[in-house]
Amino acid sequence: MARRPELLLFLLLLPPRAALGQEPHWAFRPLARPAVPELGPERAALGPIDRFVQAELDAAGLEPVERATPRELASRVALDLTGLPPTPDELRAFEADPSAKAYEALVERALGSAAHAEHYALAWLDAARYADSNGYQNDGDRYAWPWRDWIVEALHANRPLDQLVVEMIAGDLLPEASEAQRLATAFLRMNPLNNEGGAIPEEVRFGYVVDRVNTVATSFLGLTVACAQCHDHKLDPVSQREYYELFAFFDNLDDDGTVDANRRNSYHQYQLEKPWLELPQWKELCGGEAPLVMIAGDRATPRETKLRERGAYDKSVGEPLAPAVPRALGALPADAPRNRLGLARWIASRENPLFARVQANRAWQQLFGRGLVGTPEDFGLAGERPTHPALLEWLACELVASGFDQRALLRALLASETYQRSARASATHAERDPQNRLYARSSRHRLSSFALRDRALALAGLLDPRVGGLPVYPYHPAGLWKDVSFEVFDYPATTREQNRRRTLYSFWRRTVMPPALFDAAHRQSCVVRPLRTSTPLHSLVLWNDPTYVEAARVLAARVVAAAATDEERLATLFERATLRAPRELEAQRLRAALHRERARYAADPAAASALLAVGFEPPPTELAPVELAAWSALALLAMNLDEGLCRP
Amino acid sequence: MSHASRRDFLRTALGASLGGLAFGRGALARDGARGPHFAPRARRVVWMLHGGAPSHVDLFDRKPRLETDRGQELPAEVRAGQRLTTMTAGQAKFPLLPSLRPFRRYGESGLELSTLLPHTGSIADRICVVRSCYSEAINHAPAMTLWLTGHQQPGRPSFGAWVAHALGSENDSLPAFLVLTSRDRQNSCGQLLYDHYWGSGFLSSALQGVKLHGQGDPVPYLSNPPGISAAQRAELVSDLRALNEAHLHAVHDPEIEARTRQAELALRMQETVPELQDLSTEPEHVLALYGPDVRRRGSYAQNCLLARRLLERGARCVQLLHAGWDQHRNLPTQLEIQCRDTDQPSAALVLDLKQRGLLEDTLVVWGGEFGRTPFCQGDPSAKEHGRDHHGNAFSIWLAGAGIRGGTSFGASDEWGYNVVDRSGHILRPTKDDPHPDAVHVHDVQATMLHTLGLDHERLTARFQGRDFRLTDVHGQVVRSLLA
Repeated sequence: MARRPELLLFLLLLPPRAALGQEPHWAFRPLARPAVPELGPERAALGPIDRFVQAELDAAGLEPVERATPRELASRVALDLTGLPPTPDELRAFEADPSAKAYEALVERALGSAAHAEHYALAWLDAARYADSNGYQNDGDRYAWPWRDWIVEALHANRPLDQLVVEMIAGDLLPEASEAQRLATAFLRMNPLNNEGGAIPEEVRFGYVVDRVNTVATSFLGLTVACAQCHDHKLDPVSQREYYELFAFFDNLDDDGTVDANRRNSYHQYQLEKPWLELPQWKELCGGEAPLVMIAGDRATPRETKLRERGAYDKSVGEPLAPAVPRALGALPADAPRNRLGLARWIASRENPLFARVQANRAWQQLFGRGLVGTPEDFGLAGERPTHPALLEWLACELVASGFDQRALLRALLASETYQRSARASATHAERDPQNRLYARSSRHRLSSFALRDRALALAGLLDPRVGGLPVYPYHPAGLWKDVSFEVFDYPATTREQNRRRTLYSFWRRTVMPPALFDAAHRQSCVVRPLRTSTPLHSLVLWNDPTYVEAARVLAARVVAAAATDEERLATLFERATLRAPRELEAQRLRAALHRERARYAADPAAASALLAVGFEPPPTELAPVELAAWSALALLAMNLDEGLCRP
Repeated sequence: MSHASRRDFLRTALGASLGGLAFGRGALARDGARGPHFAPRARRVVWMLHGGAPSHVDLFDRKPRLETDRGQELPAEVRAGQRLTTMTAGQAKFPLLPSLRPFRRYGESGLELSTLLPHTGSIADRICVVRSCYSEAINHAPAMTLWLTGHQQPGRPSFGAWVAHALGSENDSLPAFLVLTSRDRQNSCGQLLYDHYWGSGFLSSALQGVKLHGQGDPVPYLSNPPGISAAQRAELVSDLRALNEAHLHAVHDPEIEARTRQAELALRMQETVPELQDLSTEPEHVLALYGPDVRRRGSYAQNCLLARRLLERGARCVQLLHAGWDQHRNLPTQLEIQCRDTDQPSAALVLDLKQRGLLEDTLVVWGGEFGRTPFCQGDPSAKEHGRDHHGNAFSIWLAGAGIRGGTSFGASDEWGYNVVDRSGHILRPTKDDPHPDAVHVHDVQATMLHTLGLDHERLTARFQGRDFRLTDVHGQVVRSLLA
């Protein structure tokens, strides 16, 4: 086996005491509430979060930038919390009264909305590797959406995080478990299912258990235990034996690596594996057949778990292992049951030093675009150290003290000056802190592809606010499923109605990711860090996908109807897209573009009609097609302006 | 901002943001890609990967013993209790099945190949057949994933993404890494070609392979919407640049420039991709070289020709994936059909590259994810029978870029069941216990990277606290394949 000098070098770069094992790694230490920095009388008004941030800024000699404008702030809160842009009325109202009280009300309204729950559910779907199909060779459909609705509802009700986690890992083992609690455990069963001919069931099942261990460890412990499947973890204190002790909690699930071939019909090929939960209340929605959702359930006779040599499913060695958590993190209480319920309760307790830190970091990441720990999947020795260790610790302690109240944590973050800063960087800030690790300014990042699509629908006034239900099939490149699946699947016909639902509800087939949803997590395994890249393919989507073209022409019609003159209409269009009024140079450019597009369509009315025919929405009959087409081209341009693609 | 400071700012801004750019000659040469570790033999690579597993004992590895012992049991000591898939594990008998068609010697080198592959025979002096390949995977998706990403479970960067990461593109209007897929016309096997086969794993998603689809838009959303012309789109993108630049100066976020450039690159792709697919500029004799199927969009033959056009235009890595070789029950009928549809185009690609002087610095690899059993699945006297999956020994071939043409490397035992060493002793190599005469998947990967001037042990990326490689902690460059 090749030795890796870079590993050695890396160990040498670690803080010496941690490397020598004299003191536990920061993330494994018990939580301890840090003192809030004293910053002198002139900073007395700063709240705790801002003091932690300010202390680092002082140390670097950087001044924070000014507060964001009311418009920026109102749209930031809306985009961050709900994934949707604010309405023009909301913007105007907050601009008229940007008081602290009005801000608080703005935040509360957003936090209480169903749109917030839907938006925050997305990160859970990525972590849970949620999909509407099984993956692997046959990739048949599955009923997973009731779990998606469960998490949306749980977030909407602001249920304490510890309860959610216990239910996801062990809801079926709770005393007198309710249907919802059993449904929650579908989290464990979201793994891809393999029923390829020739597959060896025990090998397949072993893979499922590995996936569950890794998903739970990544989501709730911020640990990369996967290494220890084959050998002791090279860096973190997780031995191979401890991996299989953790594995033992999940080894007893009652699935056996074989799909029930009877549970399918010809087109959708629903393919499931026991145990499942029958949901007769959705019978009507599902064409008369009560949907079955795969959930967790333990076997009556427990499997004997042994260490697997080199992680091979068929190389059991040594004595049977009892379920246990890695020593470095603690131990289950003496009276706790040695099953998933005991594990889940320990994971979601204050005794587990990682859970609150990982969740506090996740909350920060949602609002600031990047966690205080930049590797949310890895809080171990090889992960990044927090940029603001004391702040993370304080937030984690607050989360625990609030009884794992997620919304209380978000309120505190949103109330901070740090959150409310402008995203404009001075040349000094751009040079001294190009990546904005110190938070002297706000982060300006591109919206996710889910949020971009929802934004387009919202700007056009097309968004259907209904929550939950069957997955929908919005526009999709013709023939793509057929091409990728070699004719096994064909994308169902889309409808006007399906194109107005939030992107959260789009059907997710694991083997054919929707190409319009760039940078989305692949939903094959647990992902807790959002991806943000720039490729030309993104640009092709935003200019050419009928979703965006249709939204642009519907927005254009609204803008034309809303104002009387070109000037007013251009200003309205620009403002809808960027949430601010155009500067004179910008207005000039837009005017010139408008004249150009008008001339173009006047010379080619057939092109105007062709553009207006994109999508389901009928164009208004009272507007001349040439005029509306020119405005539609302008709207497509406006919707692609970088300012509107990003969180302000 | 003064003119000078604006220029400085843009320079810093661009330097900070170009790492995420997908392609662009200057961009990647300067900032993203690091270039080869040593002088490369190959500047580009094309990998013809035949999913479903072509039978090595029928095509590349002649076994007279299967003929003489036809119908007899595979000796137990040859199998030595190694695992089988569940498709034949229940079989009571393992009767040996001879090659479907005779073999013959081809070219000046006299390389032995099946007469099912006359066109490959015509390039015999250019290719090196490796007959001692082995893989621990026994099912299609994990085996393909292992070949393409170095690991049986999905999630790691694919070969092409690693290459794009290291070497970038040689072209400013096409991606560095492109993928073309096809399948047999009979839909005889169920293999899908998953997008993780060309994914970027934990590397930037900008490095993932761009698949050119066989129907509809070759790249999703490549076409302008109805009513928007190409010239109009160019003017709108020019408006976009002007308006975005104004905002860039207001907020100093270099990502604005990065994204604006992507919109401009997209505009260029709208021109280059359709041009790439326009085969009307190909002379008749070139089309004829690839065979009659070349005019059918989405066919393996057309994909081979498109691969040449891509390589010629500066693509770094082209992956041709073809599914259709999983002949468990239909070997007697399907094997011949598959050979007919793929033999000529595969050879044509090599010849065409050679004619254009591109073969010298293009690595060509042809292979399946594993081989097939020398014994019969099902009853050999029945109409429907075939061979099961077999990873202990199988064959692939390589050409171009310093590969020693007209040669073979390695051997399997008399049954084609196990890899043997130079003196014919049966080996039971594993990736943890390798043998220089046996060629593991990771060894091929290491060798492929080597021809591109990349040391597979130095091509690493850190993720979740550890340095990952395409070859994991394994792999040896098979130097004997190289002149």
